[in-house]
Amino acid sequence: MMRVDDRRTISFAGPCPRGAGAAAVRARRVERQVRQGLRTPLLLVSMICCLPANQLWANDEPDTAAAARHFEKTIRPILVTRCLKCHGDRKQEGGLRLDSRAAVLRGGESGPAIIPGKAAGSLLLAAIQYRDLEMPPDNRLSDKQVREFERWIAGGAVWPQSSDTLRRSSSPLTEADRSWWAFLPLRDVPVPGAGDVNGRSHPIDGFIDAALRREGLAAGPLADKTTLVRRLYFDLIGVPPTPEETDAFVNDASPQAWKSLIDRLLDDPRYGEHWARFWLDLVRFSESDGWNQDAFRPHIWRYRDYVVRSFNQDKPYDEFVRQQLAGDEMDRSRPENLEAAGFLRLGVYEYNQRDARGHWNDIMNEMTDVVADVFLGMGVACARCHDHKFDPILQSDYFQLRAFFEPVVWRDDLHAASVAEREAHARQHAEWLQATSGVRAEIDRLLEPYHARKWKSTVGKFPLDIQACFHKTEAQRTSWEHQMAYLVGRQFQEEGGGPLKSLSKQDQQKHAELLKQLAGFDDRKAPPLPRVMTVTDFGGRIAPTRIPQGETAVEVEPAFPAVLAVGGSSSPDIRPVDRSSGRRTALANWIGHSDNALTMRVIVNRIWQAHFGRGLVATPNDFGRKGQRPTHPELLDWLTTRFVEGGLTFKRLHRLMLTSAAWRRSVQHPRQDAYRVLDPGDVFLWRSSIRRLRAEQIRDAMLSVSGELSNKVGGPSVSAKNPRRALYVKSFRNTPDAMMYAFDVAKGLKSVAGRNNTTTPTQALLMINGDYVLDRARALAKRLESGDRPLPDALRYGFRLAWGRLPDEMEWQRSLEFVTAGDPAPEQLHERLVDFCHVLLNSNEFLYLD
Amino acid sequence: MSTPSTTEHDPRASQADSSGGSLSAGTPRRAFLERSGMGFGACALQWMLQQDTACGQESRVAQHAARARNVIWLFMEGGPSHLDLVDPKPLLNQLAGQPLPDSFREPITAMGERGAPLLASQRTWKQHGQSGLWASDWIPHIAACADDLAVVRSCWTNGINHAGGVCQMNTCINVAGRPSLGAWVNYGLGTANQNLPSFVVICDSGGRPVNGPRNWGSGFLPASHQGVRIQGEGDEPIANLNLPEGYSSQRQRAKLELLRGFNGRHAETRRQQSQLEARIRSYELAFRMQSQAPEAVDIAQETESTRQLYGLDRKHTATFGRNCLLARRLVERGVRFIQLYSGTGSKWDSHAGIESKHSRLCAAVDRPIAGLLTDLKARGLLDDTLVVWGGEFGRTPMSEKGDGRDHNPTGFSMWMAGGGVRGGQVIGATDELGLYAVEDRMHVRDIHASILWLLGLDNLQLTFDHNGRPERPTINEGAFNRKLIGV
Repeated sequence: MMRVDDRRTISFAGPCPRGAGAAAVRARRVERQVRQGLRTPLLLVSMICCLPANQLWANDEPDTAAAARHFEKTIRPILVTRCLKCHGDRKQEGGLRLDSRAAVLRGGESGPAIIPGKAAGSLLLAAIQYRDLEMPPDNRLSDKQVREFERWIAGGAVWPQSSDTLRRSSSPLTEADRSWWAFLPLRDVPVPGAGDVNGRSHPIDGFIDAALRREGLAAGPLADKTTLVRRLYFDLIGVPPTPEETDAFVNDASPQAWKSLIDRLLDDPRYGEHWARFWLDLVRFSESDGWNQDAFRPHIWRYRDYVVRSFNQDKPYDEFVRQQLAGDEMDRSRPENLEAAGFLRLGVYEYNQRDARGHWNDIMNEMTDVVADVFLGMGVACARCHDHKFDPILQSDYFQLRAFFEPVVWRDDLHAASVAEREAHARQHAEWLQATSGVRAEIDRLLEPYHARKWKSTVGKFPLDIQACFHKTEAQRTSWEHQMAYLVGRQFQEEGGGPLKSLSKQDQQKHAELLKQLAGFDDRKAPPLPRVMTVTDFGGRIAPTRIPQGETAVEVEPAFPAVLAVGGSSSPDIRPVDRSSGRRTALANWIGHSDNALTMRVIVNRIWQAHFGRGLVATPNDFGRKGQRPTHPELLDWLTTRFVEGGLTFKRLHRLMLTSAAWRRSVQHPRQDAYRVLDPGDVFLWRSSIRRLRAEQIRDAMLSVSGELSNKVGGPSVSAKNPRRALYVKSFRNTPDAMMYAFDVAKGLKSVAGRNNTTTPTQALLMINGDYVLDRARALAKRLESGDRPLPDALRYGFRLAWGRLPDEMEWQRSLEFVTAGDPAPEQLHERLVDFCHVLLNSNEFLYLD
Repeated sequence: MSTPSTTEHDPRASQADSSGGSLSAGTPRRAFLERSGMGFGACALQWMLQQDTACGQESRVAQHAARARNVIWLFMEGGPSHLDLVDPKPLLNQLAGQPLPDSFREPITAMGERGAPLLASQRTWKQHGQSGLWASDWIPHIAACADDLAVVRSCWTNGINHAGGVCQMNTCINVAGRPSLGAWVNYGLGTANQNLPSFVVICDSGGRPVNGPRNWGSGFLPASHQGVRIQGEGDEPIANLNLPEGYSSQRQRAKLELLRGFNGRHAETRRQQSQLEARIRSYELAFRMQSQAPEAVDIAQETESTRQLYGLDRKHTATFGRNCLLARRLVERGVRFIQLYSGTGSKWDSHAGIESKHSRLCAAVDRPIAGLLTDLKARGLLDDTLVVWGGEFGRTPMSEKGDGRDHNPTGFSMWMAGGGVRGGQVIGATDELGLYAVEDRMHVRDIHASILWLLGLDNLQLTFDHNGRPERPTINEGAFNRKLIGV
């Protein structure tokens, strides 16, 4: 059973300042008590030891269940919160551990802590009664708690096997937790009936139609071909079809027309550009640091291009996951593996942060949160501070998940290059080094005092323990100490414009001259290898991962969430790779394994959501209890099974979904007034839902319609003025582009699994008064005027470009009147045409998809 | 205040008003609305204003009787020195020049100057009003309002640098990504006006506060709840409010009519899709905003004595005074949450030369803030307008660079007035040197919880489901400090 949600008692592991003296006093007291303990006469050790251990387990007795409940509900929480701090796996004051029954019976330096069945003779009871030892030293247990212990010991000290070694948490997992629908193995369900559409049945429609019948609803008609081709283009490549492309499809009467159009668009490089965005939203991709400086990240576009490429190559999901979580542990001579591991660099960061410890802790936590959001479809952030209130995610699960990332160090010195490229570069570089050794030595001499001064001032600003990390050699450091040293090092490079900022005038001149000399060797310099923002594991000792709790911390090893443990084991198979721990590879293998029903369902649901506007599970980042149940659970499992069979590739799924009648339905339904009452959210897919274009689609469609859109693929990002696709516009976390922001672009701060859809007056102002849209209208007007088109043709072409169809009579008459009223002069006519185009770009038919 | 083509005398404005908000009467859209039944337009409006149907979540109305309807948050960006304004520490002057005594735990300071001597406060202190509240000579005018102020001397926060501090004071946590308090209030209470944004931010320069617009962002809440920055000066108070350059209002109207024709036709053939209707309405609201916003910020309508009260007649107080006056005008027009930045871009930050920096800024805000309090009171608006004053943190008793003070997140002061707050009281205390908050400590979460409570919202009941968590404005913690209302 999960605990009742008592919102007012949720604790937050914030800093709890406390006089430094108090801890010392307490430590002294503990020491005194331990010494006192040693003076206590030895107890009946022999009596316990001669019994076989099994006999002490009271599991076979009839009242075991009640006793176990008593332990779980009452005893265990006290042990965990009040005792394990000093008598657990970290510390064993007086040689005593209280985290398993065996340990309790073994006891400490004073002998066994309890004698089952004999409360009065048990040391533990005497200690908590403050009769002898005074335990816990800081604050005694309540009388009631003491009585509970007495009862527990008297009852035989039942300690259920499932809790063999105590977690420092208090809510055990139950069968109900483990049998939550999302965690159960996939079921390969038969397709119900036959969804007979166009004389052919499609398995998806079998499931959809069965649900419709159950709900007393009937599927509506399919959309017409003009609507469908527009819908498909936006859905697969993110831009509208040209009028010619529309015509080609509408006039293609072959039965294969639809399928071949799907295939053609899936092979179009724009497919990856469009679908990458959905993934970039999930992983909170942005190209700036966040925080205050919000510095631009000049190399992270390689990660973006990696995602685009992966979609275009139809990369299997398991490989996609492994590259991002552990690309650095794969073949590093494949540049893409390091680019992909940039995933672990996507969080926010600020160099200007003296609280290096807190900063790194935030970074690690956030990384953990995002991994769970993205891959597990479960928010685990709650468990950072306490066992999850709603889902069977324990606090230990959280930190065990975090532990996979413990050895991660950020790398800015690696290159995305093949072995051959690297070797060639190294050869040429060695020559250059030799040729320039004199000049470079001079430069070094000149800068040395400045560097020394800067190091001193930079490092000196950090707390002493952080400074100590910095002063150790790499070999002496643990991974955590190395991470601290890295943060200090970044500060050196960036604070106050870096060390060169303080050069004296004279030295500045000298420096410039030396650089000029150095530049004289540029013809012998190897072209720089492409830099990549990535990570590796720290090669040395890995710092322990600890669950923070009050003033103590319990160490944990990497493990999968207990509730998801397949076959009862949550221990990962971790095999070191070179100097890398192999932890992340183990995590990636588990996530990407086709037996992992949760992660497989999560990704399939995301694809469905992207096509249909709503997931079969409507809460794509929450498959837990706070999330919604699947509307079509059998369909989700059937699709996921097909996904697994198909080698975890996406294009197959796209084809499957897009060929269904469910996807091709019209937004109109003859009985929509009645059905809206029965199914207000169009959940059962009796019709298609109208959908507003997303921010990128709006911008791209405007540029596409106006004829300005560049078809360049990949490469470094550009300013918003550039007519490249929105995907390639530099994104800053603190200052998102106004238009993208107004249309709910993902901000790159949290994992976004589904965007909001807001409509505001300020958005309308931006569309009708803002420069950007007006400039697109001007370009569109020019396009319409080109080639000496007569005015009526120009107008018709405008409609076809913007709406994908010709106007009806009313629309036509109004437009004509708008443009020609009062017989305007040519210049005026042009302005009218601009306005007409501006209206088209503002219109709902342009911004919403049928 | 005028815009190229939209003024309050614009004939379109009165036409819009007389036809109940739409551009003109008798349109096909109107006919469509009438056919589709009463209240559909209102439904769409609701959809647009609330937006939460997009996420399947309803925002809530007030959960208990509200004491305040509006909030004016005076944000002294960069961190004003509580030790030189409202939290006098005689011991500080006695120990000036000496290092921090060993009995004080050494804090992590932002600039990391270790062992710096304590810096005396050079202020003259007096008690004010019937309550006898202490205030320094830097804020004589605010001091005159002492009996309206509840000074919280025991604030603390986690963010030790500006980015973290400003982020936390706005969003309750020092890491980016959560909605700002104003956005939560917007989500929780909805808008109280139909012509202006409900959450407005005004900065005292064209600059950018630390973190930029993210400070008033909506985080994971729908974007409609974000704050809108209004320019206190210049001819375009809200971005894109003015017609494109060279456009006549007639030309714009013709465009809007064509657009309405298209959109009406489009919606007519796609029934039961309320977001289409919402978008049609958004253009009408935008149009109303175009006519109302310039009027709202047109302080030419204010009397000379009011202008003087806010310090508009003096150069050094004119900018912030104008913003304070705008805040009052916005409150009168139903804008619920207003944030005024003073020292935009960390200008209150005083690592060195605190005397000159603080002197100048205190002088710039003292009279305007007192004017605002006085004016709100005189108009009966102070009762339901909560005025909040403070920075992202305070400053250290230790010196920095000889004559400055570093950031102090562990103990600092804020004050509140109006909105049901009992004035003339001090809540909490810092230690004898003003370094750590020690009594009745109020974390930023408690401050936010208290502001929400005064607005009728319970910080733990107001939730929004996001990525599997029922998110709350104060992240599951924080409590209303009842002392604020004198209980």
